[in-house]
Amino acid sequence: MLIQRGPRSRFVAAAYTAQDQSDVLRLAEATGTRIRALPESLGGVAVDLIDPGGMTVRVVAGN
Amino acid sequence: MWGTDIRPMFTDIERLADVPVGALALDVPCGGGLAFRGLRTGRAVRYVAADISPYMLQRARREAGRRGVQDAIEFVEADVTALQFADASFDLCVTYNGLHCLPDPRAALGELVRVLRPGGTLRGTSCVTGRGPRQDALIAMSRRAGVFGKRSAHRPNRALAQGIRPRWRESRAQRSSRVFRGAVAVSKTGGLMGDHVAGAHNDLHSDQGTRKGEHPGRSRDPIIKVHDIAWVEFEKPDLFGLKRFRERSALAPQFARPTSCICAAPIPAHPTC
Repeated sequence: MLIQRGPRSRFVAAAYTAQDQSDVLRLAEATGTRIRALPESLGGVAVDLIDPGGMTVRVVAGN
Repeated sequence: MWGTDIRPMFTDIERLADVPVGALALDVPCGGGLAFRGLRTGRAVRYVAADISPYMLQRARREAGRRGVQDAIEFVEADVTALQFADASFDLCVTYNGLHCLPDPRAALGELVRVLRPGGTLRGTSCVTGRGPRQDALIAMSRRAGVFGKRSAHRPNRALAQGIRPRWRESRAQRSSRVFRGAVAVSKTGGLMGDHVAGAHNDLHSDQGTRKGEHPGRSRDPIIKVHDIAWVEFEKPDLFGLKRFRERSALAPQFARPTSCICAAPIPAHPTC
């Protein structure tokens, strides 16, 4: 559970782990988005998507 | 966050104003006094507000004072799974948004029924699984953080179905007893479907197709299949207040697990822990 300071209390996103980085890349390609590196403290890569309900869904994979 | 309509819950709480004069009601876990808004000043209802956390009871006292209903309320430190009250003591038991935090909601429901007089009423709300993938992910994550009961806990709706259902008001839709099993197929995100690729996915859940009781929104042919939940992210305006609350409330020991964290400074892109 990650909590950061923000202007109001809100749910930001749910993040899921992919089996490996190639899955993150595959998902990014299929959805027309780009993968990005996560901060060093977390490590790995992520792709950020928006679910049909408008919520952010991240799929991440470690190194 | 939960994508649910909480107005029915507040409507239900407002019904506390209709409790007959002289009736004895139990509100457990009362938390910070969520249900006190349903009480009316000067109405001779005997109301017992119980919680396992002295800190939450202290907050509840303040809330009662703020609403001017403190004289009608007796505050009691109590474990909802082992209530100290005699059988058939109460005309009404209410429990709002607390059962899902318990390791064993079934035990709590059993106790609530025990202290309820024959013909009495039990009302309340609870988060349950099966509302949707996002909600189930949040529940699974919260369980892992130790604040949403145990993974193997009996589900309240299942317990209800097995004997004490009639008086329960399902004010949060809880008809399904589906349970999150640890793997989610990410699909239809952005409306896309892809080819099914065997290999890396063979050991993942969705290769076996839809299981009985699984969420109906799962794709049969996802782009990828995620392995697990990584985390859920929240924003809070007052991180230090949140930390104090966790330290003082009954949730503190579970929140001390490494899966939860407080970020003390604003972080522009991503939080760290």
